[in-house]
Amino acid sequence: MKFLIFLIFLLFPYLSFAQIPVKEIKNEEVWQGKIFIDGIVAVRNSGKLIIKEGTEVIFKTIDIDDDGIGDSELYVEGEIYVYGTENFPVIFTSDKPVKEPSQWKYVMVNHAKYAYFEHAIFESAFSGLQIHFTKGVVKNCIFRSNVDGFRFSTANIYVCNNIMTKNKHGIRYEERDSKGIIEYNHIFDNEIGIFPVTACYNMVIFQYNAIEKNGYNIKVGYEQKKDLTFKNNYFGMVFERDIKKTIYDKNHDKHLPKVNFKPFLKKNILRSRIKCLENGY
Amino acid sequence: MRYLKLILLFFWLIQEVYCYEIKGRVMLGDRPVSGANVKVYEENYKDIIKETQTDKEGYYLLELDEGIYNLVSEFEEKGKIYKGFSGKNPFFVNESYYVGIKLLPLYRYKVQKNKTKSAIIVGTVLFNGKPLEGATAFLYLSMKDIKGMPYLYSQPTDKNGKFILKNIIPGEYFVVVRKKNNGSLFGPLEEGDYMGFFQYNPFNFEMNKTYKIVIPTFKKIQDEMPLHLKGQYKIKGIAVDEGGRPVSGVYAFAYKNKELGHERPVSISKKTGNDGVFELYLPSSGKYYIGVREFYGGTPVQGERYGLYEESFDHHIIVDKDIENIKIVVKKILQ
Amino acid sequence: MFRKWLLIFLTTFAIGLNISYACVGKTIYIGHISSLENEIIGNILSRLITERTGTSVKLKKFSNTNALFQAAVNGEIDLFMFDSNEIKTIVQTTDFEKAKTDINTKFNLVLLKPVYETKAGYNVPIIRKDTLKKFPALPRLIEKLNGNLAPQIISELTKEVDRRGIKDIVREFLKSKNLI
Repeated sequence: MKFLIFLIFLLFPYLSFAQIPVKEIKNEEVWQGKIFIDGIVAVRNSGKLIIKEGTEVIFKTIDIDDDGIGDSELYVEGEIYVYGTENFPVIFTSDKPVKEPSQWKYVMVNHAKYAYFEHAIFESAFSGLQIHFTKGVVKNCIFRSNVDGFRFSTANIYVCNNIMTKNKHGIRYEERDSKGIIEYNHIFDNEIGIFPVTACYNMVIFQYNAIEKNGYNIKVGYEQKKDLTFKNNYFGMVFERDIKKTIYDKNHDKHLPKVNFKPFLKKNILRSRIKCLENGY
Repeated sequence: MRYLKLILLFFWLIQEVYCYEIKGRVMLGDRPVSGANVKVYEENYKDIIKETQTDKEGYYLLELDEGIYNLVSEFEEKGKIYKGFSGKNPFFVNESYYVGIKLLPLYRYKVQKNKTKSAIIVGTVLFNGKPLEGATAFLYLSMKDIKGMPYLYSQPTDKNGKFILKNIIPGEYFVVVRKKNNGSLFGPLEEGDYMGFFQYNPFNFEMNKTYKIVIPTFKKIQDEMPLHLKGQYKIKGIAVDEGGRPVSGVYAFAYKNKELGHERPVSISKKTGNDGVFELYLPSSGKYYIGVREFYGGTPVQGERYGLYEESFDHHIIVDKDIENIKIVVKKILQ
Repeated sequence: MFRKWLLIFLTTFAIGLNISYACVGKTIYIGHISSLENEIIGNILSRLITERTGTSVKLKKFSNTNALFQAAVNGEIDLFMFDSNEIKTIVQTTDFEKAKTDINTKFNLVLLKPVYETKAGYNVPIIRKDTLKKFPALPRLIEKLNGNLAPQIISELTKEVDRRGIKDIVREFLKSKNLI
C-alpha cells in the first residue's frame, strides 16, 4: 500500500501536467455554426481558415500550466479570413456563462500570410487578437472584457471602426518594425485605452479615433524612448489641460517621453457613418 | 541501497576515464614563448583548475575533464608583464582541442573618483599598440553570456580608440571588446575580426569611480572548431527559399523557450554558404525550437529572411541524437 | 526485486521529466516572506512593474529569510526585498557597501538602491544578475519607490487590508504617488 502511494506520488506531476491537445489545419477549412476549441488549433503556413458569418468559436476554459491564463487558442501562420456581418458577427468567446478576462488565451496571427477580420467579437481572452509579422486588416470588430483587446508588433495593419471596451488595455503594442493606420475606432471604458509599451516610432498612425473615458486614455510604457504622436483624435474633452491629465507621459513621470496629441478633435466624428477602406491602406 | 551505490560507482568510473587533451602554443608576436604560465580557470574565472608551463618551443599540454573552461597565459620578461586569453573563452571541452594563446602587454588601469552614483569606464582599445577605431566594448554579467547579448555596450571607438560607458550599476562585470570587419555588432567572429578581454576580468566596478582602462586586441586567425559553447548533439540541415534553392547568408538558431526571442538562443550556427547548409550544436537532449534568420540580435525586421522548422506546429524538434536532413524554408518577412 | 527496479526507474523518470509551459511573454518572479507587510510590499513591486512595463509578475511566498534567499540564488525567484538585519544573517555585516560586494561576488545577486534608509537600517531590493540583464530598466523603475516604503507607510496600508483587500489598497497607493 505504501509502495502504491509512493508510486502515485512519483507519477502525479506527469498526470497533472498533461499535454494540451493540438489540432492542425494544413489545407483550406471553412467554419460555420458552433465551433469548440479544446486546446490549440494551429493553422499551419499551408493552411487557410475561413470563418463565416454568425459562427461562434467557443474556447474551452482549461489551464493546464496553472498560470491563470486559459490555454485554448487559435494560432495562425497561414491565412485567416473572418467574414462576420453587422447582424451576424463571428464571436470568439469562452465556454463560461460569466465572461471574464483570460478564460482563453488568444487568436494569435504570427508570421502568417494574411489576416482579415470583419465584424468579429473577441471577449474573455487574455488577448482577443494578436498580430505579428503579418499584414492584417481588422474592421468593425468588438474587443471586450479581455486583458489586451488588440495587440501587435512588427505588422502591417489597418484597424478601422472597431470598439475596444472593458479591457485592461484597449490596444497594447510594441511597434518595432510596423507600419499602418488605426482610425475611427472607439476606445472607451478600458483601464488603459492605448498602451505603447516600448519601441514605438510613430510609423503606425492613430487618427480620428475616439479615445475617451478610460482610466488613462494613453499610457506610455516605461521603456518607450521616443516622443509619440496621437494627432487628430477625440479624447472626450475640449480643453487641452483636461486631456493632458488622461495621458500618462512626461507630465506624470519626467523619465517618460511626451505624447503630442495636438491638434485634437473637439467632436466625436464616430457619430457619422464610417466607411473603412476595403483591404486596408 | 546496494544498487544505488553500484550505480553511483559506475558513473564515477566513467567520469574518470573521460578526460581530454588540450594543447596549444603561446606566442608573443611571431615568437613562441618558453616558460609561460598557462592557467585553466572554471567558467567564471573564480577558481584555477589546473596550471602548467610552456616547453622550450612554447607548447603546453593539459588533461581536462569534460566541462567549461577559460585559458589564460601569463609571462614576465625583462620586467614587463604579458597576459593572453584564448579567443575561445569560455569553451566547452568534450573532445581534444588545440588552443593557441597570444600574449599581449599587460596594461594597468587607473581609478578616479566621480560624483555620479554609478561607475564609469573610459577605455582605450589597441591593436599592435595603436588605437583601434570602430571597436565596441561589451559588458557581461557572466562568461556564459559572452557569445550572446551583453548587459551593456558602448558606441564604436573613435579614431583614438576611445569608448566610454556611463551609468554602470556597481558590480562585477566581464569587459570584452570586438570589432567585426563586416560592421555588425553581434554574431560569431570571423577570421580577421578583432577581439580583446579586459585583462582584469572579472572586475568589480564601484560606485562613484571612473576607471581608465586599456584593452589590447588580437585578430582571430582561424575558426575550425564549431561555433558552440556546449555541443553534445548536432543538427545538420539546409536553408532553402520557396523554390527549393539553397539560401546563403542566414544562420540557424535554437531556443529552449517556445516564445522565441525572450532569451538568448541556446545555440546559433555559422552563416550558410552557397550550399545553404548549417550545423547547430546543442548542449543536451531535449526539446528545442529552431529556425533560421538573417540578422543577429533584436526582433526580426521587415524584409529579413526568416524561416521556422515546420515539421511540428510550434517549430519544436526533439533531440536525443544527431539529426540530419532538416530543411527550413526561408522567406522575407512581410514581403 | 521487481519493486526495487521499478522504483529506481520511476524515480529517474520523474526527475527527468521536462514539462514545457505555455507562456505569454517574459515573467518576473518576486519572492516575499509570508507576513502581511511583506505581502503588501511584494504586491507594490509587482503592480508597479506590471503596470509600467507590461511584463507579467508572479509572487511567491516563503516561510523564512533563508528559504527566500536560497530561492533567489537558485533562480526560483528574480527579485525580493531584504532589510539590513536580514542581510546580516547572510553576510554577517550591515554595512551596505560591503554587503553589496559580498552578495554580488558570492551569490551573483545585485543590491539595488535602498528604498528606505535610516541610521538604524535600510530596506533594499535584491535582484538576480540574469534578471538585471533581461530587464535593465528595472532598477530605475523600482527606485521610484524610494521614500515611499517607510515602515509607517506600510503599517498604515496593513490597517486598510481587511477593509479593502491588498490589490485595491496597493493600486490606490501607487496611483496616489503618481507611480501608475
